Amino acid sequence: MKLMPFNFEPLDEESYFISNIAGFSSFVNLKQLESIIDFGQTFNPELDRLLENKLFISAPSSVNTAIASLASALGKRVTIGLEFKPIFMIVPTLRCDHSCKYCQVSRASINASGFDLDKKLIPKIIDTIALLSTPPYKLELQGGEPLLRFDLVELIYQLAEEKLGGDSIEMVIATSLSLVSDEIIDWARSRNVVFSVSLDGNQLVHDKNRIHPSGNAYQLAINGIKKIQSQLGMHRISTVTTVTDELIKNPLSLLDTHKALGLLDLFVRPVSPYGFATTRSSVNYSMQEYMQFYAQLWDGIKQYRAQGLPFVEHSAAIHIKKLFVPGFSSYADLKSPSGVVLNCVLFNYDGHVYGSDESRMLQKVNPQLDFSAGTVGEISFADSDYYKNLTSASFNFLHPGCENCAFLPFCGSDPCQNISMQGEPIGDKSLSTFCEYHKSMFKFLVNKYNTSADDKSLIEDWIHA
Amino acid sequence: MPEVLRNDLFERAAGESKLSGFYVLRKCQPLIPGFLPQVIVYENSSTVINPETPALINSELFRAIEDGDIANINPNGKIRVILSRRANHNTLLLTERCDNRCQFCSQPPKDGDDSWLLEQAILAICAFNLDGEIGLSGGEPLLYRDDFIRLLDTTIEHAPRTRLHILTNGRAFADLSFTKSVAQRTEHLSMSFGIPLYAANSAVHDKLVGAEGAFNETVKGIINAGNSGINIELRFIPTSENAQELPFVAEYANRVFTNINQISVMNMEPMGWARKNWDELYLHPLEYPLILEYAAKITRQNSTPLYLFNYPLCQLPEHLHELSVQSISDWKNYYPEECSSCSMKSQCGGFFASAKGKFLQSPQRYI
Ligand code: SF4
Ligand code: SF4
Ligand code: SF4
Repeated sequence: MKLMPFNFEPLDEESYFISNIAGFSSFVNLKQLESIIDFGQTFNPELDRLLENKLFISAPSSVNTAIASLASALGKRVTIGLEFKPIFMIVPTLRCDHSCKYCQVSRASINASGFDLDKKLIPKIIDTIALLSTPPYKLELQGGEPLLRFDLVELIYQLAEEKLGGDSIEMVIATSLSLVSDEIIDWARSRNVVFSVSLDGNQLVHDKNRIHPSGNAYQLAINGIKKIQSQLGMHRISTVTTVTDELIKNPLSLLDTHKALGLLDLFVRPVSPYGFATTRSSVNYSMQEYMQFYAQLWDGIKQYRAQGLPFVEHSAAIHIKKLFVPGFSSYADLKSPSGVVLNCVLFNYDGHVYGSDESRMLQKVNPQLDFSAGTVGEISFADSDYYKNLTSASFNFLHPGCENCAFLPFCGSDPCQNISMQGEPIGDKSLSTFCEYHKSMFKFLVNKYNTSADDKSLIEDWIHA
Repeated sequence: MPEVLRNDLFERAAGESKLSGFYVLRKCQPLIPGFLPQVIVYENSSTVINPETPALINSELFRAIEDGDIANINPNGKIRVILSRRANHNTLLLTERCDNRCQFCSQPPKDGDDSWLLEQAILAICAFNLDGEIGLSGGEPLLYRDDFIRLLDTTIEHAPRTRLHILTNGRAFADLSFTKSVAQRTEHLSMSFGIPLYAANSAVHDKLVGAEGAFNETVKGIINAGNSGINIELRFIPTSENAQELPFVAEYANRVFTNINQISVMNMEPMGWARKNWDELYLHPLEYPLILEYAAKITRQNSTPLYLFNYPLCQLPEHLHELSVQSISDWKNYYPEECSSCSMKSQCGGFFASAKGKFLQSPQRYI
């Protein structure tokens, strides 16, 4: 048997995770790994057959076929990754009634002027969306707090409905829910609208970093969630959790908070290291501490599942799909080429158009440079050196550090984060928070998959989550 | 013969003109010169209008056909309706030659030049001029490379609404320039290719197809064809030699191949060499439900669906019933006695007509 190119990652003293550029993966022990490298086989016929079927080794007479197969699989992956399937983000206002400590976008204060989207731009925005994409259209309203300008939200929906068709649009409103009124609920009732709210834990945890002048950010969020659930249905609301120093110490509180609301879907992630977030005092934990937290959360989820509460944590589910579902490439923040432009077009309140939420943050921090692709009505990503370079610098199989990483086919790249942290789009992976976080998650999950039947079946469940 | 759903075989009456070869069967006048000679079929002698033109008087045949169906009449007077507007599948044999020697081949290849089959098929396709699908099989239908391209071109010119489904071992597509010339024609003619891959490794695949190097060519062929935009139905026949390979083939299809429209898992048909090798190769479906399930799971995560063909429902666990397709061509499809009181009969694909005696795994009817 002949050895084909693959990467490996030690999970513990004994076990190794192996993968190749085609996205096949498997587990071997150290002795087997050494034997594959020395002899092109493990001498265990069943394992050798598996390794051959997954293109880790090849019969001498089939080496060319194996090479052609690896190449075809890589080509397929890159082609799927290059599909232009953007979510359209619109920022009706940068103003916000909260002043959260880890806020990534540096919001504007509630009474500031000049931070709202000009009404006249909305028809042009919708025209641009119609021009750029095909149904179904995903619109995501970001802030600031979009509901401060509910009139604009209504107008955006109305024009989108007229131009794109009511059945072809789906709107997500990212909001803290402090302003969700009966009027808004009534409006949403017959429309394809869902709400996404930050919920960072119980009252203590949540209110520590999410600051509303009333001092009651948590209660406002909870009231809003319940209102939406009871009047619009459970599926109309989802949560996003940003892990802070407070939650790190008490992972299970997050599950209790969700359980009390009948919410069984979580989306948990560490604080983003962008721009403003880390300069504040809300994050002092290391990635190691984060993963300890995550392991406890995982165990908690397992316990609840055993009691019949099928919690799903979607960050893990995304990593799992990347590992086990060939062709899964729809999550903008974990793909290569990166999701910038390809999976996101953002219309900012000031009329500038960006290829990602992170690009508008870079803009905010570096006002002397232009990170936009122009303004509404006059955009061109193709003419923008920034976006061209960003995309071509986001193929991770060409990145030093990634090219010999066993998670390469499943991982992604975040050129904006690298620019923000290291001043250029590729970045030194040994210094990259993106790398540290995703490598930790992948490693955590494949290790669980390999060592416990329970965990394995949980992971297989989440493939379909 | 057991009672099949649609009979396709008739006898010429003694004394009728010695027609033989491919004919268009007509039920009405006038005869217009076309690609094939035509013959009028009369229900009985009293309905004969024009005694001058070639005719068959056969009420059974008359009732079984539509105007314009195609028949092959052999020198001994057997009339086989080969293209029927009433059939659920229409298939033409392009050659009996093949570069594989599959252990379960239902139509064992023969050697010797039989290129006339392809010539007849071209005429039959054009004369039939169907707005629907015609299957092309073999042997290996792509063996006569250029002639096959000519078949495509002629069809594009004279029967462009025909959709072709070609059953091939895919080895011909290892030749990229041949693949390209087929791919060019897909713009003008709807076609798809059913290509079997029995394992994701050469040892198992080559052994089953009885040809060294077949795996390499078939895999490269599927890669070339898919990447050139040719539609592929990937086929798999589970046997005791390769059933455990199915999940690997499914993952291979999803990661490596492109343009796979569906994966078809097909129960073995007790015909040809499969009969001879039955005891060594046949695996009862209930011996591999987990494998089917696992493969279905792999494909469900992706956009490539997996379907089960030729499985009597009572031989599958119930949760796999939804993947099962009623697929056996009507002229060779039957339901044994036991099925008559089965409540699933209307959804069930039943058996191959050739499944009798030891080849019939007793049906377990649902009451
Ligand atoms: S970013 Fe890190 S984890 Fe991801 S592929 Fe590169 S080296 Fe591996
Ligand atoms: S089953 Fe095999 S041997 Fe028979 S015609 Fe098909 S490819 Fe050739
Ligand atoms: S008894 Fe006959 S009809 Fe019923 S499921 Fe079995 S094969 Fe099908």
